[in-house]
Amino acid sequence: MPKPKLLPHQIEALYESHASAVRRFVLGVLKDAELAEEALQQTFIQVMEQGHTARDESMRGWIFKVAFNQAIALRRRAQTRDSAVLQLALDPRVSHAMPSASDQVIRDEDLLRAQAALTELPEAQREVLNLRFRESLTFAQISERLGVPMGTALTRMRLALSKLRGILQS
Amino acid sequence: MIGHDDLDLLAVRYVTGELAAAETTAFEARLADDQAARDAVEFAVRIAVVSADDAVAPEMSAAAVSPVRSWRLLAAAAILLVFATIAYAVSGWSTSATGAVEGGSTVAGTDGNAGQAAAEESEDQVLIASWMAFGELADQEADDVDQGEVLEEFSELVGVLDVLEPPDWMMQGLVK
Repeated sequence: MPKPKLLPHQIEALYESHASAVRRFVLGVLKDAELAEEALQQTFIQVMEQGHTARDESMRGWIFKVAFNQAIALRRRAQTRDSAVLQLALDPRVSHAMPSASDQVIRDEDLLRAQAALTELPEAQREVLNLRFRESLTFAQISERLGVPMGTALTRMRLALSKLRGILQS
Repeated sequence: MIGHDDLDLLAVRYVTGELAAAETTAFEARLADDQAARDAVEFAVRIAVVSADDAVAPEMSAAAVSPVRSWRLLAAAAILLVFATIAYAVSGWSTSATGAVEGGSTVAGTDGNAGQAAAEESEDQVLIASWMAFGELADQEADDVDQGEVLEEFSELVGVLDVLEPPDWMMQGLVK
């Protein structure tokens, strides 16, 4: 016997649980805030229509897979190309789609926790994050700015990510 | 098999557009089926958003100095300075009083004046050292400060002054 479609409160709960992360994921794929919002909407329309076919234990993976497919389809349709520079919070459109951390106190604890975790990084690693994400320097430019080999800049980023992941998962 | 750390770095390079076209294609093929890769992309964007957030930047550039801890350090340093000043005053008053008594007797002389001058010079040095300690403590970043170190530094300086000793509860309260 086929499973019934998800009920509104189930969809709402899924949205609450996954929408922020899905939005970030599709933004990473599309690098375009408006398209990312559209992909998010399309994803949850799919959740409404097809969500009941997914197994509960793999729901997150299923939603992300749908989101990825939606993102790729949207990108093809819009014929956009990946931007070399990630706009994110620096772009007002992104600010709208991705409210700043201070605006998300209630809605997105993930960002708040990430904020706190950043302060626990060693200065050298934080510097690489800043140069990459705030100043939009490439790793080659970062290594030049810091006077270190590019491998060192990449290693610092890798260590920073590893530490942040550890902190955020603990 | 690619490790989690490498996957995170790959995801950062992907979301920042630093992968070559072929790498991007390969990574996107992986995104279609690999939830760990999708999670890595989400994680990379989360870190990018927070790192690029102006509201967060000042906090980051403050090199993780907790305002509370900084305040405590400054307060500790200020109290140290007060102790040093009191010690200086008490010691100076004591020396003057001794000098006055000695001046009234036949002991006062050139050697006595030289000794007093040397004592005053020594007290000045203690005060200068205390000021310097104050400056150093105020400048020190909280990350680099070990609570035991602060206590030790206090004890050493107070030991040098050899006059007044702050109660333990005060020192403990300051550096906790």
